[in-house]
Amino acid sequence: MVKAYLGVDVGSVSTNFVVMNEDGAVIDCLYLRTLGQPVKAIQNGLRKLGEKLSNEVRIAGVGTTGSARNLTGVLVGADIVKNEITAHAVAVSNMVPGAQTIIEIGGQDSKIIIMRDGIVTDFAMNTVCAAGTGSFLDQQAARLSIPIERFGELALKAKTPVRIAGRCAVFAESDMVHKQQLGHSTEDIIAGLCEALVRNYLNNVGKGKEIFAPIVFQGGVAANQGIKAAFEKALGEEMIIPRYFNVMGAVGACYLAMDAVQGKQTAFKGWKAAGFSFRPSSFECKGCPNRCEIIQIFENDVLIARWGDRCGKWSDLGVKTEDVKVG
Amino acid sequence: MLVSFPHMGELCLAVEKMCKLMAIPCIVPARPGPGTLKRGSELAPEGSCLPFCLILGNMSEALEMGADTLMMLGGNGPCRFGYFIYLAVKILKEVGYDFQALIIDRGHIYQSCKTVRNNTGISWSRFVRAVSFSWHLLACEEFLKKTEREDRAYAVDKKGFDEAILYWEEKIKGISDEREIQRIEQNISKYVEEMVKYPEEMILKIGLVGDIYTLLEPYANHGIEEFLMENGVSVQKEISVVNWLPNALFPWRKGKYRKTLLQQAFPYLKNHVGGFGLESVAGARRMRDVSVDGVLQLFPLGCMPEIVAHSALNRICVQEELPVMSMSLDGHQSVTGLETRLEAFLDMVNGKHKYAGPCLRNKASSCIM
Repeated sequence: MVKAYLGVDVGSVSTNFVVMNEDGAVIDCLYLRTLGQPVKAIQNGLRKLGEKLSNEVRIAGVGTTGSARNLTGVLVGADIVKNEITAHAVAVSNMVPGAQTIIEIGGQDSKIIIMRDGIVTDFAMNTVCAAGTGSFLDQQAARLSIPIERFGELALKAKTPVRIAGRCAVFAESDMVHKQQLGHSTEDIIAGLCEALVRNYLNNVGKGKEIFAPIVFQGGVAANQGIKAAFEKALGEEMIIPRYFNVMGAVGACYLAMDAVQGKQTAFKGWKAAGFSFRPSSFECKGCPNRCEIIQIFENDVLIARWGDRCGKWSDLGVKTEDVKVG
Repeated sequence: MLVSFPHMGELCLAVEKMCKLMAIPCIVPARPGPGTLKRGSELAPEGSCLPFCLILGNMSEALEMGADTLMMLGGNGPCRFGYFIYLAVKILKEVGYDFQALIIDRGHIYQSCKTVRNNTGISWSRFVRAVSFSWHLLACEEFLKKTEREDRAYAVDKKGFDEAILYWEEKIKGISDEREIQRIEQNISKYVEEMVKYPEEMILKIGLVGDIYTLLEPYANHGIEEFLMENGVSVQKEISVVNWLPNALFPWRKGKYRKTLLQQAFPYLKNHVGGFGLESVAGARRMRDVSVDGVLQLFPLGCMPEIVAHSALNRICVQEELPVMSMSLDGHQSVTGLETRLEAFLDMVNGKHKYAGPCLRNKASSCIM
């Protein structure tokens, strides 16, 4: 049995698992679509990994990250729950030592992380608009009925990329439709979109940041050759795409878990958690005008976690919903 | 005359007490929440900022409760805040509410005071006493809040600290004369001085700058202060009603106030840009002097003055090596994105360690929420 660490990154589009040994070598990784059902995706991943690895590895620590990190932490039994910015930075500082800039584009978030000597010195994340992230590209690929895997390859075939407004997903889409009705080729439109998205990224997320090489490009969108080429054109630098580019958050979570347990007993519930019945439910607390939406997680009908309250009165699992007026 | 007012930070208790002392019947609307936002957004013009929606919603809630007079700070300046109340009053009158507005700003303060006095028939001396008492009460409340956000992180006995804060909150609610206020303030200071503290270098200090309403109203900033406190951070925030209102009301204070701000903001911002833009830049510079580890700028989505300040803050961030993160806030209901950024910011500021989290610096707090 090999001692190993499990990292789980549950984002809007994908749910990723990485199992890593003590030396930082990836034993196995899994990239699944979340499809709007994180609980199902997490259990699915656990089952798949468990079937393959349960006789080979012993999980000594678990880290979770991504927008569903708290939920995942409860479901899997995490030793550390960390935001994805830190997780990505940790992954890169271990896997691509010396990197100074990380460009990460995922399903709904895009971020830039500036690192010096392996330490994060600055970062930014997209705020109000999700144009240029994975879900928008997915949606456009579907509209043009091009498999998303071929999107980048087609963009590289373009001869004269068209100009498209990249500031807003709605404007970009209407520009694309107009250009297509004028008779531009699909390749040129796609390449134009890639350039517009990169421009938007650099003008918003990357605004005012000192982007120095080596630049690491990761996240699901890094698979897109068109976007990679557009970044290289705009920055005049080569993009380093790490081997595990699409699961880097989970890689970071592994390292964080390694750091967090330090000989302590792990909180991991075991691969069997794939078979547990997890039931999330929610209610609106009417205790004050904040009207918090409280989430409750039941494991095999036992309440195991509750969050969403500002005041913290629900965090005590002993408090029953019947005890307090919830409306 | 049934007076009401929209909430802003700790204002409500003081205003309520003031009305009581002047024998004016007064009702307090519920604190802003999702219901307020919904009501406000329905009434407000498209693209209005979050504070406007919340204040408008709060005013309309108050009117629904039967108020016929609304009291509100006006303020002047190039931002909408200068025109804020007039627009709100106009919108509410247009949808059919009948009420009189008591505006407290440089242009209307005397008129408003006169209206109150005419309606209640109280003497000037009683009027002044009531205002003075409630002013000191407000200062006391804000002092307690300040103590809580700045010193909670240092307290080794968090439970005891929280209990003490709750105790004083109750005490303040029951205060009836000014000497008592002074005594409470002294007691608070004494408690903080005597409590067992973590050493200064263990605690992360984060400064907050930005638009006043967003900074003062927890619902408008998604409870950022609480989040930071939970993570063992000492929160520095200079903007408060007591610090700001006299400068906005009294002409003789305005000149000096602006001059100081301009000096502090120089060379990053050389002019007043409306709203609290200049305050944000000057505030960030001042906070650097009290050695905060990082500054958060909070503003409602689309707030022009703060957008201008944002560029200046970016330069301060680079040139003075002070980590600054700007967050534009709107009516989103989920705080996950916000917490992700805040957590990452704390990790970064803490980043002398490679994987440091807030928990490494302050063992008393937990990093898993």
